[in-house]
Amino acid sequence: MGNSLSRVLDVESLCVTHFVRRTSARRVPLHAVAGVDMHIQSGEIVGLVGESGSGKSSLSLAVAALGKVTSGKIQVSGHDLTRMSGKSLRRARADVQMVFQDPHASLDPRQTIGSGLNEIRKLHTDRVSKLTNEELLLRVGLSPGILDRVPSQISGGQAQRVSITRAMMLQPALLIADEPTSGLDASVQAQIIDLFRSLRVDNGLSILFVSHNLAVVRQLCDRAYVMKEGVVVESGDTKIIFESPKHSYTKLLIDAVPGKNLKLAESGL
Amino acid sequence: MKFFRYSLKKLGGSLVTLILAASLAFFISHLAGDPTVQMLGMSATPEQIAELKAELGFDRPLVVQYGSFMNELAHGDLGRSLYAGESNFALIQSRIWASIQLTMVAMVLGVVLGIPLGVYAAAREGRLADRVISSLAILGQSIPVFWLGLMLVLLFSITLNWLPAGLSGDWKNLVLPAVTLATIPLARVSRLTRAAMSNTLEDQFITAARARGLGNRRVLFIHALKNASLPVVTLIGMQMGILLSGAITVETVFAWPGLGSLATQAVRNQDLTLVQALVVYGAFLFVIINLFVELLYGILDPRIRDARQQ
Amino acid sequence: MKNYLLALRKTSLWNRILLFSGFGLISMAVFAPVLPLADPNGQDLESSLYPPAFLAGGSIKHVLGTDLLGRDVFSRLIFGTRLTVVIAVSAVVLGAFFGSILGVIAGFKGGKIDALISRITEAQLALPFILLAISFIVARGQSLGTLIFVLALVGWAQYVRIIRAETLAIREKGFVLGLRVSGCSDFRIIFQHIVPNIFGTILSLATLEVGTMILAESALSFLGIGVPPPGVSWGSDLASGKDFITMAWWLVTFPGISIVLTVLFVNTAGDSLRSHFDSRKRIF
Repeated sequence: MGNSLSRVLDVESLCVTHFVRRTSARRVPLHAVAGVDMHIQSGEIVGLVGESGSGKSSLSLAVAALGKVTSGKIQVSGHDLTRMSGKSLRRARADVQMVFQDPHASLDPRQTIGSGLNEIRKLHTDRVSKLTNEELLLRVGLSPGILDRVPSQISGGQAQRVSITRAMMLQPALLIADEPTSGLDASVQAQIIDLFRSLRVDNGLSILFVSHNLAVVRQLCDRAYVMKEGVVVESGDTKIIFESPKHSYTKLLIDAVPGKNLKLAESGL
Repeated sequence: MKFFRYSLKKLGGSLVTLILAASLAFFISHLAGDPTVQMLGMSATPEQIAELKAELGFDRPLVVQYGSFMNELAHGDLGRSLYAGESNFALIQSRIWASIQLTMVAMVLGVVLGIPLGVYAAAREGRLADRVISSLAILGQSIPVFWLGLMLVLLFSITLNWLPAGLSGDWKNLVLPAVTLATIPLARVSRLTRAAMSNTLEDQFITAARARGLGNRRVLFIHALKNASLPVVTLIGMQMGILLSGAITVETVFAWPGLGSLATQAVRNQDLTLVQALVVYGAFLFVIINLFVELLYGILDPRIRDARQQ
Repeated sequence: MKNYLLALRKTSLWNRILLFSGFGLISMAVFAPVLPLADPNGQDLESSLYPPAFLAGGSIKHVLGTDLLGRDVFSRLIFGTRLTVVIAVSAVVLGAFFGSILGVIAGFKGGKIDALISRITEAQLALPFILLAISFIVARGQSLGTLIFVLALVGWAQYVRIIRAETLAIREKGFVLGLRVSGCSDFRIIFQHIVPNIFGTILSLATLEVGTMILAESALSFLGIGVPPPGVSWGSDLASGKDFITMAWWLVTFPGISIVLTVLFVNTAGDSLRSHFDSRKRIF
């Protein structure tokens, strides 16, 4: 399991409760995350699988200190971001970065790519990568020509790479990818997956890969957690989970994947 | 049961709005300091100012004044006119009927004429009739109401001598002021009806009805009108505030003995408490009307209505 | 700018006429002090109540006639434009500024702050505008500053609602989250990212409001609590002219026409500005 010193992420008994209006009068508590333990070692790619409503989005947002935390402990590289606020929190955010599902929705439509990157530089002058904007883009396979463009002028795949650049330039310890390939074409998906792999190799990055696409998770992740209705029902090495799933829900999910996809996944898209 | 809860919620909301509005009215008129200096004029001595202040209660801390204001309000007391000394409430009551008369007639005229015009314009969308009606509606919203009143007086009273120019008397005196004021809701209602009708006419629902073989006219009126009635009802509620404002200037033009002339008098006499009372009263009217409209909406809106029938 | 001029070519003939004549009048208003116009406040009791030049008894010196005090109507029309536009624009800027900020805060923060702001806005909208204005001006005394402030006070509520909705829509879009994870402070997000994105909406709303402000100002001046003398306002001219309606119809006709034309011009200009922004917004 590895000692806690090399753990990039340590989550203990995390609970996230939202209050929803079911009727016009009452507000009912919704336990999006109901007591989850999770950890990620340095250099691991860990998958988080589940259907919509399983709580995986709430979990990932909580870990990224973007979402509500009702109770529990979250430690990223030894810091507990949920106990921070203000300037120190903003500084510490560089440790855990996030890439979102809709690549275009994550970028300010009025800002050019270049000025967006420069803004991040200004916010984290001490921590940010010393590479130039051009070099950063080349690293993810983008042409520096897009620096002067606005998000509406680039494709979804390009926008997603830009988001990854924005995340990586802060040299985080942990990168959370929330359904990063759902909005993209199959071919582009493969490229993004490869990019994640190379990021892990080149930078020693740890990745929490949230997805409902089992094939991709199997292909990319070392370990995985399976979530259902706010709790983790199964976890462990990806290979073991897929070959001999223990929980009935896991079995259900795996069976739902058409066999053809699994074969393609195995052959390495 | 759902409707009952809905009504209760709306009632509570209206009460809160009313309290907030009254408080706003208080703070706005008291934000500017107290009017004793204004009232006594430039030559007033400090003693005179202090005396008047104490007499009127303006020397108390603001919070205390607010407290007594709200307290009196809860008892239906709107204070006393600074100028005439009479109860503000009584003053308002004596004039309110004339204003209600005028506003109601104007609203009815506006709606009764506006809806058919809007429907007609929607039916003839893009053609001459539609463009004329739409342009007139836009024009109507660019004209100051009181000026329109003056022009109508010029035309119908002075030049043609058909109708009297205001004051009250029999129904003839009501015509010009009411028609003038009616242009406000007329323009809005016809534009809104046209837009709402235009939307629902494109509805697939209508296409289906047409396919069933119903005549053209019937399709238009029955189906589309029902759907379009909801936003119009809401608009009527909102219009009342604007109509009240318009009524004040119109009443001044036609020397109509309603709240408008009372307000103008209050302005001339620097009668701060009366003005404040008018504001609160106006807010009260507006809130009541809106509440009524919201309840009506609750009855008409199929979502709430159907739940009721369960 | 070039895009705007090109777009202009596409607008209807009627709109173009309106816009060009509007610009003509505006330039006249701007250069009024140096034009050979009569002093708008120059009283000449000898020339009291002259009809317009094209009627019997009129003189070419006073194209549109004079009022009771012998002041030239045409000159008062032109000079009235200056003050009216300045007042309306100032009120709009002030109201838009505060209303938009409140709207953004309400939409961005949500929760209790949003509820509070929304409630107050609703309450404000419940108060009939003229009564509100009257109470403030009576208490404060009549002045130009008070007038602008009151008009802004009446107008700000309109912005809160719409801007709040826009901000909510932007929050839904998700790039606020992206900015936050990159370490932007709330302050930065609001002013550097949200406001530029809603600026177009603010602008279109503001142009609509200018027309409303002009009408509101003339109504207040008509009631005697608007522009204080010696300021020239169409509304107060209508008020003084009203007493002579039987014998001097020109005193009530021309100022009113000016109001209507100005409001129409402002609304048309606003419409074309808005469609210009809307087409750009489509990229959004």
